[in-house]
Amino acid sequence: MKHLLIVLLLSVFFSSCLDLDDNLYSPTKLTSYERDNYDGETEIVLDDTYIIPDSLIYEFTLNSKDSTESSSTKIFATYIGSLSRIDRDTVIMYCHGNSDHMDKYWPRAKLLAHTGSKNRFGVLMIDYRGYGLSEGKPSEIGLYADVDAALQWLEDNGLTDNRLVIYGYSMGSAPATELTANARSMKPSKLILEAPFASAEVMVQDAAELSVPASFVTNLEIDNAEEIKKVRGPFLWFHGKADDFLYIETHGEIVYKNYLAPDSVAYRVENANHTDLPSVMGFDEYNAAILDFLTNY
Amino acid sequence: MIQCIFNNVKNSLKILNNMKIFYLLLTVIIVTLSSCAPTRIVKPLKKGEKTASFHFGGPIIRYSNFNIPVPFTSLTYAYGFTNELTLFNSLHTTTLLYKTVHTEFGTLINIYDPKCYGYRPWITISHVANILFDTRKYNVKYWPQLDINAYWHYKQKDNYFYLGLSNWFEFASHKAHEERQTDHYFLSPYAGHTFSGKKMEYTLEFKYLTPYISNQLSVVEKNSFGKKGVNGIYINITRKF
Repeated sequence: MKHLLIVLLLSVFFSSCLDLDDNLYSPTKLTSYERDNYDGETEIVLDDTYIIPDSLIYEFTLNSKDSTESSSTKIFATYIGSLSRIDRDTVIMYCHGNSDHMDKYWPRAKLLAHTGSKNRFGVLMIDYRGYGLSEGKPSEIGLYADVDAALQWLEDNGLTDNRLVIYGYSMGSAPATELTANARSMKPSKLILEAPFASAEVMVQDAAELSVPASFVTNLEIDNAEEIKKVRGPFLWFHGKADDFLYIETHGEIVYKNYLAPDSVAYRVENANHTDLPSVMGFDEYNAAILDFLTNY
Repeated sequence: MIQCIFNNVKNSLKILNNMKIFYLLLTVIIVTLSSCAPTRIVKPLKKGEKTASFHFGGPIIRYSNFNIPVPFTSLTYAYGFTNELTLFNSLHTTTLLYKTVHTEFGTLINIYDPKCYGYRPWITISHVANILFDTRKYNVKYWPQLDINAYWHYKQKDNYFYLGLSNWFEFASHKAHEERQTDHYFLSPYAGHTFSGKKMEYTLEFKYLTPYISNQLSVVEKNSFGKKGVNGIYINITRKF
C-alpha cells in the first residue's frame, strides 16, 4: 500500500512537468530589424530589382492583448506600401511561419509586395509575441490576438473588409484561417494558405499511425481543417508535393477538401518542399497566381 | 574540442529548426504509445514470485548524425498467480512526463511446456490491455495487444533466448477529419536474451517494429533495414522478490 501511494504521488508529480507545445514555436530575438542587410538564413533570395524604397517601409509597434492577459503585449510590425493609400488599396496581411523573426521572412513579404507590379498591393507583416523584437512568449491564443491587433490597425487606417486579403504560411495558416472563419476586428474577403496544417490531431496521427487524440500529447487546438468549413470567401491554396514537414496528403489536401464554398484555386507544386515553394514555382509564376486570384475571384 | 562539439550540436539544432524539433519530440512521445515498449514478461513466474522491472530503450532514430534509440522508460510489476499464469502491470514513465498516463494490465500464460531442455521451446501467450488517458481533456483510449513468445533455456541454466511476435489492434475505423484508418494490426517481431541471476535479471531485446508499414512518411529519420518498419533496442533490468 505504501509503495502504491509513492507511485501515485510520483505519477502526479511527473505528469505535470513537461510540455510539448512550446516546441512548435521557434522564435529568435533581435536587437533591431535589418531587413535587406540581414545576413542570416532566409527561405528565398531576391535580386536587387525587388528592393523596396525606404519611403514605402513603415516599422511600428502594436499593443496586443489576448483573453488571458491583464495588460497588453508590445509587438512589432512592418507595413510595405503607402500609409496614405490604405483607405484605397487592397492589403495582404502576411502571417509568417514558426521560425525566427520578420527579417527571415522579409524576402517573402517583398515578393508579395511585387504582386502585379511593385507596391501595387500593400503588405503588412508582424512578429508574433516572442519573435524578433516583439515582447512576450509565443502561444496559440497569442498568435490570434497578435494578428487581430494588426487587422485592427489596418481598420483604423481606413481598410475595409472587402480589400483585406489574409495570407498564412505554415504555422501562419492557423491565425489566417481562424480569423477568416471567426472574424474579430475585420473579416478578410480572401484567404491564401501556403503549406497549411490540417490540425494538431493530424500532426499527432502522422507520427503515430494509430488513431490517437491530439490531447494525449499537446494542448494545441489548431484545427484549420474544421475552421475552413466556415470560410465563405475565395480561397487560394499552395502546397509543395515534396513537403516533408506538413505532408500535402495528410495536411493540405484535407484543408482544401474541407473548403465548402465554390471559389477555390489549388497549386500543387512539383518538387517543392516546405520552405522553397516560391523559388521552385518561379517568382513570376507565383506572383501571377496571386494576382490572378486577387483580381479574378 | 568541447567548443567544436558544442558548435556541432548548435548547428544540428539550427538544421532541425522549423518544425523538426516539434515533430521529433512528438514522435518521441507518440511512438511510445504504439507498441514501442519491450516485451514485459516472456517466462511465467513461479507461484507467489514477484518482480519489478525497469525498461529502457525504443526505436532507433537518426539524430544529429547519430543513430540512437529513443530513451523511453517504463516500469513493470509482475506477480506469479500460479505456476502457469503471471499477472503484470506497467506504467510508461516517459509518457507520464508529458501529462498522459499509459498503463498496461496483462496476463502471461504458459501454453506449451516441452518438459526437457532441447530444441523445442517453451511457448507463452501474453494478453495486454493498453489503457491511456490524458490529463488535458481526459480522453481515454484502449488498445488490446496479443503477444506470442517462444523461449529456449541453455541446458539447466536459467539464462534463456527468446523469439516473439507482438500485435496491437486498432479498432477505430476513422482518424481525424473522417479519414479512413487503414492499418488495424501493428505486428512487430522481436528477439531477446535474458541473463538470469539469483536476484536480478538483465535482458537485451531487438524489435523490428511494424516491418510492413512505410517509414518514409516521417519527418524523423528512422533506422530500418529498408523503407519499411523501424528497428528498436531495449534493455530490461529486473529485480526478483
